[in-house]
Amino acid sequence: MIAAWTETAKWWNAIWFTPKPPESLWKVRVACGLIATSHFLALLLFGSEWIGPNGWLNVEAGRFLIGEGVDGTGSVYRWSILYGFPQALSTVVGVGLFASIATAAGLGARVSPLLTWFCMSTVHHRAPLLTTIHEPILVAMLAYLTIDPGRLTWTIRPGLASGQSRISVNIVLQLIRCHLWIWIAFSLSSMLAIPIWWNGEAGWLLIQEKRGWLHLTEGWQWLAQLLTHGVIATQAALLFCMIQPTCNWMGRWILYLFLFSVLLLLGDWMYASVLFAASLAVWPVHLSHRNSLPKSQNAPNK
Amino acid sequence: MQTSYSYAGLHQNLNNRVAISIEIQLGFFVFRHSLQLHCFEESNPTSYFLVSKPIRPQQIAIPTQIGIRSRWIVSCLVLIHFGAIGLSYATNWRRSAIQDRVLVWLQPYLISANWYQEMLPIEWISDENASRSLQVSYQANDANGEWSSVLDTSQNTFLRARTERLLYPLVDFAASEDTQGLTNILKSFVLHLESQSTRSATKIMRIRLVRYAKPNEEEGAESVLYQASLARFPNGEFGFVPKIESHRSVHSLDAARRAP
Repeated sequence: MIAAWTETAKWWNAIWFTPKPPESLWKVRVACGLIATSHFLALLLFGSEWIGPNGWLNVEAGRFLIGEGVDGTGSVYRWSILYGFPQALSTVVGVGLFASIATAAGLGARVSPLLTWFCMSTVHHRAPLLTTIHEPILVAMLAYLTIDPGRLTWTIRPGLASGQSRISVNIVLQLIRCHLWIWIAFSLSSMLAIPIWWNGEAGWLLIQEKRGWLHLTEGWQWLAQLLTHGVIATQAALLFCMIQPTCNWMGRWILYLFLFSVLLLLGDWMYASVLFAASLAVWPVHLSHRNSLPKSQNAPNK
Repeated sequence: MQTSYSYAGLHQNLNNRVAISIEIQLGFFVFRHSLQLHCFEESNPTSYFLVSKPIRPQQIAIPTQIGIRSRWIVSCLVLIHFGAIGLSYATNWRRSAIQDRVLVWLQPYLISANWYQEMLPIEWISDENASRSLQVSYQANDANGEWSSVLDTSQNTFLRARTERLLYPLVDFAASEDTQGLTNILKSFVLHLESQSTRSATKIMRIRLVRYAKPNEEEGAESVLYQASLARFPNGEFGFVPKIESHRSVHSLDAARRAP
């Protein structure tokens, strides 16, 4: 019993408390910052039309939808300043845009992801109903990056001094991994709760609604059914590969397949991008293998 | 300590001055900067440098090892955090009474930190989703019986997902006969449309009728789910007088779509 407990503690410590170099996090942060930038750019263009002072969902309707005044809805914890000052939306979005650019560029250490998270959450709290599929993972990653943003230089050039390994970098990586795993697990289970994902109709319905990049005629329903089953199978395989370190290369390729099916069926490139950004914490992509290693590792063995 | 600069060279001239050139790379841009350092060998046997522009480390060094108490705290926080998120996400299935109570208890953390139910994985498509195609249209005071469509979930635009998220509650309110919910959202739509016309056109538009319908592609007609005329009051407020009562007339799935 004690031996099992000791083994478990060792395993837990190795997973969460092994120091990792900050280089292992910077790609996640850059990807996250870039996606947040495009998110805020979209909000800058369309945000005021939706949740501005006279938007489609005005403050009164927004308050009604969060259940203000109704017990148990938790509306008192919706801290968005946009309920009191709806005209502040452009300021919030502008600050968020600059903060997200700073996050991508590696400026401002923890402050820039924190500010990006704050601005994004301000908009979410104003209209939780309008949250789209990519935002929950993005906002979670930003929250985790406030613990440690990793290396703050946006470069793949070799020879620059490598940062000291830190436990906080590993904790952030593990938090993103766990969150992504939970997300995929619940996404898969939500799909399996609906018959159309079992009988293969879901893909065909999505194609009929012309959501994704794939457009098929009547005779190609078998392909849609194959894709439907493929989406389920790839998600199940991803869950397995994420907890099996020996399946790294396989997991990455399964992820690409899954992202490709997201684009084919759903056409949501933001969702695909966010999933890819989060997956960098699990399966890091080396932009240039030689350059991404410290100098000592690049040196040929003598 | 993490650095983003590389040491490029050290040069000492005859006046006891040392120049260090530093290269900083940011993305594709490389900034080179030389620092002038003054060396005071006469005043102190131990030579030291006075840096004219000190370099500030980018990050505070964090210890590579933490104590067992800190590990316990971090581990407990991680477990509580993911336990709360798991509980919140699990509402996507079924909700038990005890789960509901725990969620209400966790609301200060889950809602404030943005981990609550609206952040759970949204289905790509569902049985109801497939038949929920909606279109909101209106008739202004100068319209000759023609409906102007404004929000349409079948339009494949960049904002389609948000349009759907905005319009689906209308179906839910209609199904549950929640007239207050319907009125609140439709009122917001009307105010938005009228304010848009006030801003852009010289003529102020006054909406007379509003409705939402399900476009029927096969028959080329729409099945109207709700239609109401606007009753305006002297104080500027307005209400809705339903002409077609809200109902849910859509089927779970069309027969044609179900055919293999």
